[in-house]
Amino acid sequence: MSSSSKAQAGQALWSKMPKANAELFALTYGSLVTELVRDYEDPIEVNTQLDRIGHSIGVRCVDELLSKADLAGLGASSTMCANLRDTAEVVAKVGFRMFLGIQAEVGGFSQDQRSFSIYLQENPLSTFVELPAAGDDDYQYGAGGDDLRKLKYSNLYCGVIRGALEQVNLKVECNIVRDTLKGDELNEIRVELKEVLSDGAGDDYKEE
Amino acid sequence: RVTPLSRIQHRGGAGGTYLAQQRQLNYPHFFFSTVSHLPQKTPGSTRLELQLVVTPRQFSLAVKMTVHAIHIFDRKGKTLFTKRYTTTKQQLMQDAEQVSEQRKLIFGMLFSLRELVGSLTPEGESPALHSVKTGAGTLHCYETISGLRIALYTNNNPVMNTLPGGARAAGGEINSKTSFQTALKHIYSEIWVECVVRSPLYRPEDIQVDPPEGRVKFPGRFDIKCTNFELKLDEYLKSMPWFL
Repeated sequence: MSSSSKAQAGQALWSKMPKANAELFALTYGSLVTELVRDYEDPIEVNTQLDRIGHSIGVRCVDELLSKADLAGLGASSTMCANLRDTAEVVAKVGFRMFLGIQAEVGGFSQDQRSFSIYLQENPLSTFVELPAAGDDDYQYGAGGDDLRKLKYSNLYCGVIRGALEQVNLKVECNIVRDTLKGDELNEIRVELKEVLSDGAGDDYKEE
Repeated sequence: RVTPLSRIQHRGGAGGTYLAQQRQLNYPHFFFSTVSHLPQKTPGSTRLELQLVVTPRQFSLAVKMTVHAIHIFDRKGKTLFTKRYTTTKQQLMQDAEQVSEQRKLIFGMLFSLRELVGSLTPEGESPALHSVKTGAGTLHCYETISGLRIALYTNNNPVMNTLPGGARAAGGEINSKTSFQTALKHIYSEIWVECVVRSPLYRPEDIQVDPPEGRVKFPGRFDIKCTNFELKLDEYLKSMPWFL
């Protein structure tokens, strides 16, 4: 399946999806993260929570994508990705485009084809966001100024990718490698395939 | 008398002659038969005609439902949704044990068949189980990549209820618009995703299957009943011409 037709599919799907206000979206997410930081205080813990939230989002998004894929001309026969590269392209070109309306690029395939990177030029979640510089927040909580640099603001994406790919039997690990909030020129999410799960009857099957 | 309900004409020679079934017109099951060597309108050409022939059926007094039941399974084998469309009282009062046994059997069968189909399919094509046909009925299946399986158990000969624009709808081969695969796909994408997945109460790990009599409902679990799913599903199925 060629890359351009995936891009077109993404574009077509994006135009069909109901849209929400981008600022509302970004600000809601921002306030969510702020609350989390206030509650947990430890940025690492906040990252985990964001990942968990993203995971449950991803689980639902994948069904939407698969169901709309037919309409976009991806077709039942070609939605089966032959390898990780295809999966990566679908996630970036169709998935990100369809849900967020942004252009994402894939690249950085490793030697064994088990990991890749997704590059985002623009990040709709981080409009209006600035991470405080080191030394700015020495509250009574004793949080060192450096701490918020450890916060992965867009960790939601990692969770979404992880959750979505889990539903199609791919267990992956995602990390944000480069972040525009920290001064890099683009956002990079590194996705690594851990294992391919196999279908099987789970516990519930026997319990019933 | 042979009553042709639709005709598709092809030019081109055809060998032998197949006998057209000549019976009386009766209700409503259709049967394909190829007829060649019919009286030729233009000399020197043979026409191959595909005619619809209606075979005789005993007119039964009981209303025959086309769709018997629908089941939805998730990837792990848990039944997410099941519904029986039947008029006989007996079937409704099936033992709880039996019902869950039946569901497990259906899932097991679908699972094993999928493995089988996967190993039989030639390289490069995507394996997909469409239907399993027995003497009594057919089980149509649709499976998504995310592991959701929808199974629709129907009669063997779907009754085409509506015959508007007669020739087209009655054209032996089921129209792609009303075929079961399309219907199942539609159920997945328009009804399941819209009503269940998008519901804010949806939790994939914690779905409450309809509890058999006597068992307490677990609070906090997501019940499909609290969405519009069943309503929309019924609406959709009723709008299909093969649903009685």
